[in-house]
Amino acid sequence: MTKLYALLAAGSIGFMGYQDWRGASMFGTRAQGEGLFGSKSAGMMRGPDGRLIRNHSYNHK
Amino acid sequence: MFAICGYCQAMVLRKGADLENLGKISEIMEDGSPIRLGMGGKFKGRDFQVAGRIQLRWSDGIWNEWYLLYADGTPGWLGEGSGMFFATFQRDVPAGIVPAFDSLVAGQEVTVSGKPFSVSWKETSRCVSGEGELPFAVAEGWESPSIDLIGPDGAFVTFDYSDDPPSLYVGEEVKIESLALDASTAVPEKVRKVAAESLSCLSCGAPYNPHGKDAASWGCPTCGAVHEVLAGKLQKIYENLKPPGILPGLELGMVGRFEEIDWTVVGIQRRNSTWQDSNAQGGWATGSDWDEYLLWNEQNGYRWLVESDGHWSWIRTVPANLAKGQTAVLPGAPKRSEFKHFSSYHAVTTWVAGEFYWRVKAGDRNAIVDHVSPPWVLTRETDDRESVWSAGLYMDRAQILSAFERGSNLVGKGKIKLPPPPNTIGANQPNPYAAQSKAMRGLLWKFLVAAIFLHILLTAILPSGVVATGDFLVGTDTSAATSRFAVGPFKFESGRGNVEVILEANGLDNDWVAVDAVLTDRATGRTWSGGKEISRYSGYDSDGSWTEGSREATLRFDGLEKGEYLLELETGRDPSKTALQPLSVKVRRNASSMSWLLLALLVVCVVPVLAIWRSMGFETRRWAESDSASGDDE
Repeated sequence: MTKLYALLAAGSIGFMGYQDWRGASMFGTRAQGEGLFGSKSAGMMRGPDGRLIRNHSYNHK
Repeated sequence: MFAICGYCQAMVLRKGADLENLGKISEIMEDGSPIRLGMGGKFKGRDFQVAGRIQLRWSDGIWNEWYLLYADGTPGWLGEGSGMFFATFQRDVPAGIVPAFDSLVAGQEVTVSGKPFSVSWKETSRCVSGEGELPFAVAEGWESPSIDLIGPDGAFVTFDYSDDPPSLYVGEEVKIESLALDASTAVPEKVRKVAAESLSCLSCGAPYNPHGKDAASWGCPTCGAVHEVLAGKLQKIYENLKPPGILPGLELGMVGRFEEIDWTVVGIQRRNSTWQDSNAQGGWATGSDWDEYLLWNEQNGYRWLVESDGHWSWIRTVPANLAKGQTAVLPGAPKRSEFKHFSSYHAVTTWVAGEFYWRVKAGDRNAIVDHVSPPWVLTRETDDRESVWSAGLYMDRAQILSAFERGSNLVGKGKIKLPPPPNTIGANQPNPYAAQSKAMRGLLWKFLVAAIFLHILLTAILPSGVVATGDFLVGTDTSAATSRFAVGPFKFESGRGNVEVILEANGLDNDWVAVDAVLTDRATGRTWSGGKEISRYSGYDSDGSWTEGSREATLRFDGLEKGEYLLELETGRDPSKTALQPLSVKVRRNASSMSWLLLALLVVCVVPVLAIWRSMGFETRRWAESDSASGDDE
């Protein structure tokens, strides 16, 4: 069990190192059509006239 | 010099060639002692010869004081009782140094020569016999009030109140093997008048087969009559006990193999825990029963096997009061300081069967203090006369079965019927998860350090910095001049990486700016797109001032490769606003991300945390049964 844990932990650190080395983040936006976790498109909403509008309102406003 | 004739048992005073007859004394009782008159031996490199013996009786049995003459003429004593041996020498002390007999009680702490001792035994013994040469005259019935004290590392002291003023004897516990006793010079034994014959219960006639020759009592396993035993013979019944409804798992006569030695079950004692409780009837509350098996081996004396709720411990008395000792309690056992107080209670004997080296009685009550350092338990039992320490090693049911199945086949006993496996956690039961938890704790810190170090190292060595900037004024219309902007082009020189787009709307207040961003690799046409709203509001209400949102937002694009990139922005604003809003844009390469580090730390931590949690849960259940759980800790 301890050996299995050591392998798992070492593997996760190695994977982290690889992702850090290639500058990837878990939730960063990927290029169109790529990626598993990152959003492929996160553009703003548009109003009926095609203008960008805000996505949400705040508690006080 | 006084001497006892080996043929007529007359005690004589020898003055040169003259002998003065001082009267007769009884013959020595057979007690199974490995020591014989005339034997030679060594103690700490000094040769001695066994010159004489005084045999004494105390309330629970017989013990011997062997008189030794060392080669340099120094006299010494070797006390022998319950399979233990103590070598001592008399020390001259001024009158008044030795505390009064009545001023000390069993278990009391006493400082002797600056060292901590505790009273292990207090008793007035009576002489029953003697042999050989002695430095003083003894007679049958001669009383010897004495107090024994045990100190650190086996140190031993006796206060002897048969002298006036009381005498002080100082020495230590010794192993019989270490004395290198030489039987070749022993005085030939007389044929004992008491034969080791089979005897019968004085009540029901059940056979009594003596084992340990220093037996002081025997409980008939058939009818429950408890007999006084003297010189290997049943003398009289002093108690009748009703056999219990549930009999112990092991039987008298069974043989178990422990420490590569065959041990015979010679006595069984059932005890019950009890403690003072004002709400209980009679002021004492009672707890659960447990069984204590007295095991005997001719060469090695006695051991105990204790079974409580299916938990077994292999127990032997320890020679020293280790309360302040710095050495291991027993070979392989922890130091005293590593034991933690577990519980204090009283034990009451409720039933006995077989033979015991003391006069055992139902209702015998001892104050017990248990300290544990699993798999070891260190116990102090104290009554009015003595304070005894013992150390026990936890054994599981399979070990007991294995030990007795082999041994019991040898003596033709039936199949072993042990109590069922425990469904509780024993005070000294080893924690099956402790080793794994410890190993994982050790690895956990190493992996945590490795993960953080690697992340910091890679963040430091990867190329980073601002690669493009732009400052714009955002309007509320949709004209290209005030709503569409471009940053770059900029080059991504080498390798893979990411960019972070930092959007900052300086002076934004009670307003918002929506930004859509598209990053394009100008060579391949690959695009990254994302949007952010920058909004900040502030004001006052009944709770005071408030702010929400931020003047800054960040977009992150991952998976960039070497190439030339252009960042295009489209903005939107609240149509009701009229003033232009400044927007500052920075593009930074290879921004560090904590996400993979956090995932790695989660993976690194989760297994050890589960292992530690499981181990701690076991300990919590163990200590829930202790005094610390009920607030009665020392």
